[in-house]
Amino acid sequence: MRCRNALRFSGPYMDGELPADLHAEVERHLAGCEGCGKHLERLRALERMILEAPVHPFPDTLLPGILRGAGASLRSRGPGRTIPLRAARWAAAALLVLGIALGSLMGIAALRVRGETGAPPGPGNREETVLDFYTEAFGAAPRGSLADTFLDLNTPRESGRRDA
Amino acid sequence: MEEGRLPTDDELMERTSGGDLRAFEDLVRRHRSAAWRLACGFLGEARDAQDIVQEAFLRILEAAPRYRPSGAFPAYLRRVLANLCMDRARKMEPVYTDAVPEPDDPRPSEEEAMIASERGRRVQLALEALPSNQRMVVLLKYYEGLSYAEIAAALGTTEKAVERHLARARECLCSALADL
Repeated sequence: MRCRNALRFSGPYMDGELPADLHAEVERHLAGCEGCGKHLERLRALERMILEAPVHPFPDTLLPGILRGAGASLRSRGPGRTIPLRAARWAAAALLVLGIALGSLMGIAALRVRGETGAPPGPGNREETVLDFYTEAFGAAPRGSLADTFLDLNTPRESGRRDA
Repeated sequence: MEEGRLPTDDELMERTSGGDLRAFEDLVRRHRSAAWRLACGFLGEARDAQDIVQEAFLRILEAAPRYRPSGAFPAYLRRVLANLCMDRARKMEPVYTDAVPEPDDPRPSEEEAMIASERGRRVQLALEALPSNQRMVVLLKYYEGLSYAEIAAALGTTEKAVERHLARARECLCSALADL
Protein backbone atom coordinates (compact mmCIF):
# COMPACT_ATOMS: atom_id res chain seq x y z
CA MET A 1 0.00 0.00 0.00
CA ARG A 2 1.20 3.50 -0.85
CA CYS A 3 1.33 6.35 1.67
CA ARG A 4 -1.41 8.21 -0.18
CA ASN A 5 -3.87 5.37 0.36
CA ALA A 6 -2.70 4.76 3.89
CA LEU A 7 -3.35 8.41 4.77
CA ARG A 8 -6.73 8.24 3.11
CA PHE A 9 -7.71 5.17 5.10
CA SER A 10 -6.14 6.22 8.39
CA GLY A 11 -9.33 7.84 9.69
CA PRO A 12 -11.64 4.88 8.95
CA TYR A 13 -8.83 2.62 10.20
CA MET A 14 -8.81 4.43 13.55
CA ASP A 15 -12.62 4.34 13.67
CA GLY A 16 -12.70 0.59 13.00
CA GLU A 17 -14.71 1.10 9.83
CA LEU A 18 -12.51 -0.80 7.37
CA PRO A 19 -13.07 -4.37 6.19
CA ALA A 20 -10.70 -6.80 7.92
CA ASP A 21 -8.36 -7.29 4.96
CA LEU A 22 -7.97 -3.57 4.31
CA HIS A 23 -7.56 -2.90 8.02
CA ALA A 24 -4.69 -5.40 8.16
CA GLU A 25 -3.09 -3.86 5.08
CA VAL A 26 -3.21 -0.34 6.55
CA GLU A 27 -1.88 -1.64 9.83
CA ARG A 28 1.10 -3.25 8.10
CA HIS A 29 1.87 0.00 6.28
CA LEU A 30 1.58 2.13 9.41
CA ALA A 31 3.92 -0.16 11.30
CA GLY A 32 6.63 0.37 8.74
CA CYS A 33 6.10 4.02 7.72
CA GLU A 34 7.17 6.75 10.10
CA GLY A 35 5.34 9.58 8.32
CA CYS A 36 1.98 7.78 8.18
CA GLY A 37 2.46 6.62 11.77
CA LYS A 38 2.87 10.25 12.83
CA HIS A 39 -0.28 11.21 10.96
CA LEU A 40 -2.23 8.55 12.83
CA GLU A 41 -0.76 9.81 16.10
CA ARG A 42 -1.98 13.34 15.26
CA LEU A 43 -5.49 11.98 14.67
CA ARG A 44 -5.41 10.25 18.04
CA ALA A 45 -4.18 13.42 19.75
CA LEU A 46 -7.01 15.35 18.12
CA GLU A 47 -9.52 12.86 19.50
CA ARG A 48 -8.07 13.30 23.00
CA MET A 49 -8.23 17.09 22.73
CA ILE A 50 -11.86 17.05 21.65
CA LEU A 51 -12.86 14.66 24.39
CA GLU A 52 -10.97 16.61 27.04
CA ALA A 53 -12.28 20.01 26.01
CA PRO A 54 -14.49 21.31 28.81
CA VAL A 55 -18.20 21.59 28.18
CA HIS A 56 -20.38 24.17 29.90
CA PRO A 57 -21.78 22.74 33.11
CA PHE A 58 -25.29 21.37 32.91
CA PRO A 59 -27.56 24.28 33.85
CA ASP A 60 -29.85 23.81 36.85
CA THR A 61 -32.63 25.61 35.04
CA LEU A 62 -32.79 23.20 32.13
CA LEU A 63 -34.86 20.39 33.65
CA PRO A 64 -37.44 22.67 35.34
CA GLY A 65 -37.71 24.59 32.07
CA ILE A 66 -38.40 21.43 30.08
CA LEU A 67 -40.94 20.18 32.60
CA ARG A 68 -42.73 23.52 32.70
CA GLY A 69 -43.00 23.48 28.92
CA ALA A 70 -44.13 19.84 29.00
CA GLY A 71 -46.86 20.58 31.53
CA ALA A 72 -48.14 23.45 29.42
CA SER A 73 -48.01 21.29 26.30
CA LEU A 74 -49.96 18.45 27.90
CA ARG A 75 -52.57 20.85 29.25
CA SER A 76 -53.05 22.44 25.85
CA ARG A 77 -53.45 19.07 24.20
CA GLY A 78 -56.79 18.32 25.71
CA PRO A 79 -58.12 14.82 26.31
CA GLY A 80 -58.68 14.02 22.65
CA ARG A 81 -55.00 14.02 21.74
CA THR A 82 -53.63 11.87 24.50
CA ILE A 83 -54.64 8.50 23.06
CA PRO A 84 -51.60 6.24 23.18
CA LEU A 85 -50.45 4.76 19.90
CA ARG A 86 -51.14 1.21 21.01
CA ALA A 87 -54.72 2.04 22.00
CA ALA A 88 -55.21 3.79 18.68
CA ARG A 89 -53.97 0.71 16.85
CA TRP A 90 -56.34 -1.56 18.74
CA ALA A 91 -59.20 0.79 18.01
CA ALA A 92 -58.30 0.80 14.30
CA ALA A 93 -58.13 -3.03 14.28
CA ALA A 94 -61.50 -3.28 16.03
CA LEU A 95 -63.04 -0.90 13.50
CA LEU A 96 -61.61 -2.97 10.66
CA VAL A 97 -63.06 -6.21 12.07
CA LEU A 98 -66.40 -4.51 12.62
CA GLY A 99 -66.33 -3.22 9.06
CA ILE A 100 -65.60 -6.66 7.66
CA ALA A 101 -68.37 -8.20 9.79
CA LEU A 102 -70.89 -5.59 8.67
CA GLY A 103 -69.77 -5.98 5.06
CA SER A 104 -70.28 -9.73 5.27
CA LEU A 105 -73.70 -9.27 6.80
CA MET A 106 -74.72 -6.87 4.10
CA GLY A 107 -73.34 -9.28 1.49
CA ILE A 108 -75.45 -12.09 2.86
CA ALA A 109 -78.44 -9.81 3.12
CA ALA A 110 -78.01 -8.78 -0.47
CA LEU A 111 -78.48 -12.34 -1.67
CA ARG A 112 -81.76 -12.71 -3.36
CA VAL A 113 -84.22 -15.28 -2.05
CA ARG A 114 -84.85 -18.54 -3.75
CA GLY A 115 -85.91 -18.17 -7.37
CA GLU A 116 -84.62 -14.69 -8.01
CA THR A 117 -81.08 -15.64 -8.94
CA GLY A 118 -81.93 -18.79 -10.77
CA ALA A 119 -79.59 -20.93 -8.71
CA PRO A 120 -80.94 -24.43 -8.27
CA PRO A 121 -82.24 -25.10 -4.78
CA GLY A 122 -80.82 -27.92 -2.82
CA PRO A 123 -78.49 -28.81 0.00
CA GLY A 124 -75.12 -27.09 -0.31
CA ASN A 125 -76.56 -24.19 -2.21
CA ARG A 126 -75.58 -21.02 -0.39
CA GLU A 127 -78.98 -19.41 -0.67
CA GLU A 128 -80.62 -22.53 0.63
CA THR A 129 -78.33 -22.50 3.62
CA VAL A 130 -79.10 -18.87 4.32
CA LEU A 131 -82.79 -19.44 3.93
CA ASP A 132 -82.71 -22.52 6.11
CA PHE A 133 -80.94 -20.54 8.75
CA TYR A 134 -83.48 -17.74 8.44
CA THR A 135 -86.46 -20.08 8.56
CA GLU A 136 -85.06 -21.88 11.56
CA ALA A 137 -84.35 -18.64 13.36
CA PHE A 138 -87.54 -16.76 12.57
CA GLY A 139 -90.02 -19.51 11.87
CA ALA A 140 -90.93 -18.46 8.31
CA ALA A 141 -89.31 -17.85 4.96
CA PRO A 142 -88.77 -14.18 4.13
CA ARG A 143 -90.69 -12.34 1.47
CA GLY A 144 -88.70 -10.47 -1.16
CA SER A 145 -84.97 -10.20 -0.79
CA LEU A 146 -83.00 -10.91 2.35
CA ALA A 147 -81.91 -7.29 2.27
CA ASP A 148 -85.55 -6.21 2.43
CA THR A 149 -86.08 -8.65 5.24
CA PHE A 150 -83.08 -7.30 7.10
CA LEU A 151 -84.54 -3.83 6.87
CA ASP A 152 -87.91 -5.22 7.88
CA LEU A 153 -86.46 -6.70 11.03
CA ASN A 154 -85.24 -3.30 12.10
CA THR A 155 -88.63 -1.67 11.54
CA PRO A 156 -91.10 -1.87 14.46
CA ARG A 157 -94.38 -3.52 13.50
CA GLU A 158 -97.56 -4.59 15.21
CA SER A 159 -97.27 -8.35 15.01
CA GLY A 160 -93.77 -9.49 14.28
CA ARG A 161 -92.83 -12.38 12.13
CA ARG A 162 -89.81 -12.46 14.38
CA ASP A 163 -91.99 -13.85 17.12
CA ALA A 164 -93.62 -16.40 14.90
CA MET B 1 -43.36 -4.08 33.69
CA GLU B 2 -41.50 -6.46 36.00
CA GLU B 3 -40.96 -5.53 39.62
CA GLY B 4 -37.66 -3.73 40.27
CA ARG B 5 -36.75 -3.38 36.60
CA LEU B 6 -36.20 0.09 35.24
CA PRO B 7 -38.66 0.92 32.49
CA THR B 8 -37.19 1.00 29.01
CA ASP B 9 -37.17 4.18 26.96
CA ASP B 10 -39.98 2.77 24.84
CA GLU B 11 -42.11 2.07 27.90
CA LEU B 12 -41.50 5.60 29.15
CA MET B 13 -42.43 6.97 25.74
CA GLU B 14 -45.64 4.99 25.74
CA ARG B 15 -46.57 6.32 29.17
CA THR B 16 -45.57 9.81 28.05
CA SER B 17 -47.89 9.54 25.08
CA GLY B 18 -50.70 8.87 27.55
CA GLY B 19 -49.94 12.13 29.32
CA ASP B 20 -47.73 10.75 32.12
CA LEU B 21 -45.48 13.69 32.95
CA ARG B 22 -43.48 11.66 35.47
CA ALA B 23 -42.48 9.18 32.74
CA PHE B 24 -41.42 12.08 30.56
CA GLU B 25 -39.32 13.49 33.38
CA ASP B 26 -37.58 10.12 33.80
CA LEU B 27 -36.85 10.09 30.09
CA VAL B 28 -35.39 13.60 30.21
CA ARG B 29 -33.26 12.81 33.26
CA ARG B 30 -31.94 9.71 31.54
CA HIS B 31 -30.83 11.45 28.35
CA ARG B 32 -30.30 15.09 29.27
CA SER B 33 -26.53 14.85 29.75
CA ALA B 34 -25.86 13.36 26.34
CA ALA B 35 -28.25 15.86 24.77
CA TRP B 36 -26.62 18.73 26.59
CA ARG B 37 -23.11 17.73 25.60
CA LEU B 38 -24.01 17.39 21.95
CA ALA B 39 -25.94 20.67 21.76
CA CYS B 40 -23.34 22.54 23.77
CA GLY B 41 -20.45 21.13 21.76
CA PHE B 42 -22.19 22.07 18.55
CA LEU B 43 -23.47 25.53 19.42
CA GLY B 44 -20.78 26.62 21.86
CA GLU B 45 -23.08 28.97 23.74
CA ALA B 46 -24.81 27.57 26.81
CA ARG B 47 -27.91 29.70 26.28
CA ASP B 48 -28.40 28.45 22.71
CA ALA B 49 -27.75 24.89 23.80
CA GLN B 50 -30.36 25.20 26.55
CA ASP B 51 -32.96 26.44 24.07
CA ILE B 52 -32.22 23.62 21.67
CA VAL B 53 -32.24 20.83 24.27
CA GLN B 54 -35.49 22.13 25.68
CA GLU B 55 -37.06 22.34 22.25
CA ALA B 56 -35.86 18.85 21.35
CA PHE B 57 -37.47 17.25 24.38
CA LEU B 58 -40.70 19.19 23.89
CA ARG B 59 -40.85 18.10 20.26
CA ILE B 60 -40.39 14.54 21.39
CA LEU B 61 -43.24 14.99 23.86
CA GLU B 62 -45.46 16.37 21.11
CA ALA B 63 -44.60 13.46 18.82
CA ALA B 64 -44.90 10.80 21.55
CA PRO B 65 -48.32 9.51 20.35
CA ARG B 66 -46.76 8.82 16.94
CA TYR B 67 -43.55 7.27 18.30
CA ARG B 68 -42.93 3.71 17.15
CA PRO B 69 -41.27 1.60 19.85
CA SER B 70 -38.08 0.31 18.29
CA GLY B 71 -35.61 0.25 21.16
CA ALA B 72 -33.74 3.10 19.53
CA PHE B 73 -34.84 6.12 21.49
CA PRO B 74 -31.29 7.57 21.80
CA ALA B 75 -30.95 7.51 18.03
CA TYR B 76 -34.33 9.21 17.73
CA LEU B 77 -33.31 11.89 20.21
CA ARG B 78 -30.02 12.44 18.37
CA ARG B 79 -31.86 12.85 15.10
CA VAL B 80 -34.22 15.45 16.55
CA LEU B 81 -31.37 17.24 18.28
CA ALA B 82 -29.09 17.19 15.24
CA ASN B 83 -31.84 18.63 13.04
CA LEU B 84 -32.54 21.42 15.50
CA CYS B 85 -28.84 22.22 15.88
CA MET B 86 -28.31 22.32 12.12
CA ASP B 87 -31.38 24.52 11.66
CA ARG B 88 -30.11 26.88 14.34
CA ALA B 89 -26.67 26.98 12.71
CA ARG B 90 -28.23 27.87 9.38
CA LYS B 91 -30.20 30.71 10.93
CA MET B 92 -27.37 32.07 13.04
CA GLU B 93 -25.56 35.02 11.58
CA PRO B 94 -21.84 35.08 12.10
CA VAL B 95 -20.70 37.45 14.81
CA TYR B 96 -17.24 38.92 14.33
CA THR B 97 -15.64 40.04 17.53
CA ASP B 98 -12.18 40.55 18.91
CA ALA B 99 -13.30 39.77 22.41
CA VAL B 100 -11.95 36.52 23.76
CA PRO B 101 -14.64 34.59 25.64
CA GLU B 102 -13.88 34.03 29.28
CA PRO B 103 -13.51 30.47 30.44
CA ASP B 104 -16.29 29.18 32.71
CA ASP B 105 -14.27 28.80 35.85
CA PRO B 106 -10.95 30.58 35.45
CA ARG B 107 -8.34 29.75 38.03
CA PRO B 108 -5.40 31.96 37.02
CA SER B 109 -3.28 30.81 39.87
CA GLU B 110 -2.98 27.33 38.49
CA GLU B 111 -0.93 27.23 35.35
CA GLU B 112 -2.07 23.77 34.37
CA ALA B 113 -5.70 24.72 34.56
CA MET B 114 -5.03 27.77 32.44
CA ILE B 115 -3.32 25.72 29.77
CA ALA B 116 -6.15 23.19 29.77
CA SER B 117 -8.69 25.97 29.60
CA GLU B 118 -6.85 27.68 26.77
CA ARG B 119 -6.62 24.42 24.91
CA GLY B 120 -10.32 23.74 25.44
CA ARG B 121 -11.17 27.19 24.17
CA ARG B 122 -9.03 26.68 21.08
CA VAL B 123 -10.64 23.33 20.41
CA GLN B 124 -14.09 24.85 20.78
CA LEU B 125 -13.25 27.69 18.42
CA ALA B 126 -11.79 25.26 15.89
CA LEU B 127 -14.97 23.19 16.08
CA GLU B 128 -17.12 26.27 15.64
CA ALA B 129 -15.15 27.22 12.55
CA LEU B 130 -16.16 23.98 10.82
CA PRO B 131 -19.18 23.86 8.51
CA SER B 132 -22.18 22.69 10.52
CA ASN B 133 -22.49 19.27 8.89
CA GLN B 134 -18.80 18.50 9.51
CA ARG B 135 -19.06 19.73 13.09
CA MET B 136 -22.08 17.53 13.78
CA VAL B 137 -20.34 14.48 12.32
CA VAL B 138 -17.28 15.11 14.50
CA LEU B 139 -19.37 15.45 17.66
CA LEU B 140 -21.47 12.38 16.94
CA LYS B 141 -18.29 10.44 16.29
CA TYR B 142 -16.29 11.59 19.31
CA TYR B 143 -18.93 12.40 21.93
CA GLU B 144 -21.37 9.65 21.11
CA GLY B 145 -18.93 7.10 19.69
CA LEU B 146 -21.26 6.29 16.82
CA SER B 147 -20.37 4.25 13.76
CA TYR B 148 -20.52 5.83 10.32
CA ALA B 149 -23.81 4.01 9.68
CA GLU B 150 -25.35 5.37 12.88
CA ILE B 151 -24.19 8.91 12.11
CA ALA B 152 -25.57 8.60 8.59
CA ALA B 153 -28.91 7.48 10.02
CA ALA B 154 -28.97 10.37 12.49
CA LEU B 155 -28.27 12.94 9.80
CA GLY B 156 -30.20 11.34 6.98
CA THR B 157 -27.16 10.94 4.76
CA THR B 158 -24.87 8.18 3.49
CA GLU B 159 -21.91 6.47 5.15
CA LYS B 160 -19.67 7.71 2.35
CA ALA B 161 -20.75 11.29 3.04
CA VAL B 162 -20.02 10.79 6.74
CA GLU B 163 -16.56 9.45 5.94
CA ARG B 164 -15.91 12.42 3.67
CA HIS B 165 -17.12 15.00 6.20
CA LEU B 166 -15.09 13.41 8.95
CA ALA B 167 -11.93 13.32 6.86
CA ARG B 168 -12.27 17.00 5.92
CA ALA B 169 -13.10 18.01 9.48
CA ARG B 170 -10.09 16.15 10.84
CA GLU B 171 -7.88 17.81 8.28
CA CYS B 172 -9.12 21.28 9.27
CA LEU B 173 -8.91 20.58 12.99
CA CYS B 174 -5.40 19.11 12.79
CA SER B 175 -4.28 22.14 10.87
CA ALA B 176 -5.97 24.64 13.25
CA LEU B 177 -4.66 22.91 16.36
CA ALA B 178 -1.25 21.90 15.06
CA ASP B 179 0.61 23.99 17.65
CA LEU B 180 -1.14 22.46 20.67
